[in-house]
Amino acid sequence: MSQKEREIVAYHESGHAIVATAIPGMDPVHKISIVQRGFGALGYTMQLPLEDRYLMQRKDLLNQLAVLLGGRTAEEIALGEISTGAQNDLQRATDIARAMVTEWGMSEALGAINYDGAQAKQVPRHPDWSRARRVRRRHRAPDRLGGQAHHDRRA
Amino acid sequence: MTDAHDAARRILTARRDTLETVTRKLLEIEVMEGRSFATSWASARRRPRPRRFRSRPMNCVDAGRSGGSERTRPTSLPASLLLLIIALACSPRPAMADWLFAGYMGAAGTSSNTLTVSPASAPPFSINEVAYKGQAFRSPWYYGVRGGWLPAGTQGVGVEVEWTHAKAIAQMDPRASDLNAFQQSHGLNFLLGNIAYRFSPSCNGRCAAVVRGGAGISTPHVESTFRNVHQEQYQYGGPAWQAGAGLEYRVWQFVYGIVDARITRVTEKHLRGAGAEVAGSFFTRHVDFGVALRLPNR
Repeated sequence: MSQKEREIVAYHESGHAIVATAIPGMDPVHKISIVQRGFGALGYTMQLPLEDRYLMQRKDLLNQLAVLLGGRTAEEIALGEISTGAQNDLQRATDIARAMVTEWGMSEALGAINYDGAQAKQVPRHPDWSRARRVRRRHRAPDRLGGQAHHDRRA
Repeated sequence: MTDAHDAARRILTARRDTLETVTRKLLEIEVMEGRSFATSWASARRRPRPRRFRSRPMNCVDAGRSGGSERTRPTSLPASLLLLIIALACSPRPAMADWLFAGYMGAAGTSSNTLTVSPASAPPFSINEVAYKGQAFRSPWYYGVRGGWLPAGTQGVGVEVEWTHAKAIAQMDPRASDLNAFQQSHGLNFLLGNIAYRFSPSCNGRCAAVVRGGAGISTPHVESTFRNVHQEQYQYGGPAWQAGAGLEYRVWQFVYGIVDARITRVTEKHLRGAGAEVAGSFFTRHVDFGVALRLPNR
């Protein structure tokens, strides 16, 4: 790995760690590594919970989104450029945001409705799905969901 | 998600210094424990912006204080050393560490000294300005081995155990005194425990500079001829110490090339010969080169 890539990875992982530490109540950062691993990860930031956890609150999920996006954001701020290194983060963040809306009923725009997350493949054929997509398009639900909650937390 | 992104941006923009500090540290040591991260985080947040690039000598009185006249009071050297030892001993051990095994060869030269000879049945006498040869590349060769434990990454304080086989062969006229010959060719051996500090100045983690200090014992193999009677045996020489500095350069994967310069000193007061005891101080300069294997435990 070149020095430039190491630097990108270092900024990326530092971003995750700093956002995770800056947000109160997040699991503490246990380890940060920029040592390349065999399974394709160029680095990782490991958080370990202090106790067993069975439920996640809405704000926890929103904070988790911010942490996941912290790596990409750090690259933007420090280097002025983004890389492909955030692919997995974006995938996980998208999964969380989608699940918040379609499975856990955490969207104020769509309400407390489960769009049959257990049978995710059938979601597009669900009778409520077309309505959900219309509302989602109109309100860009996951975006507003995240923004509002962060605004609430900061206030 | 856009707003989560904005939230992350706000946090990171407000903590740009912390981002830089943590990233530099991460580039340096590659794997950062949570404890180490918390330290970097705290130090970056504590550092006032106007004094960002001002260095100020720290002393232990400063710890935990926010001000006061005692901040600039110097701490005496023995107290500083004592506090350093306590700090090293009490600091929590990193969970991740590397093992380092090294072997080296090189050359050593022992300074001229004065030998005091105490015959069993005669008054003691001294032989001044005894010169020594090292003969590092004649059998038995000069060599050394070293095993160490050090924090993962390229910076930190580690501990080592080291064995050095040097030689000191006295250049003396056999007829000049009752001590006809004196040498430690099998060798002037040292068994030392070291504390080594490694840091990587600017070579992207490929190399590390090392400063080490150590203490231990010498176990010389003394070969002496007194009044034409030869005797040789391994003996306990005395307490020894060493100080040195070196470089380690990663050649391939876990393999490092090493170069060291060291000085050792031992005072051997009761070296037994055939019918006499010999005493002297041996100050030796070493230049070593070799190979080290650094086995990461990650």
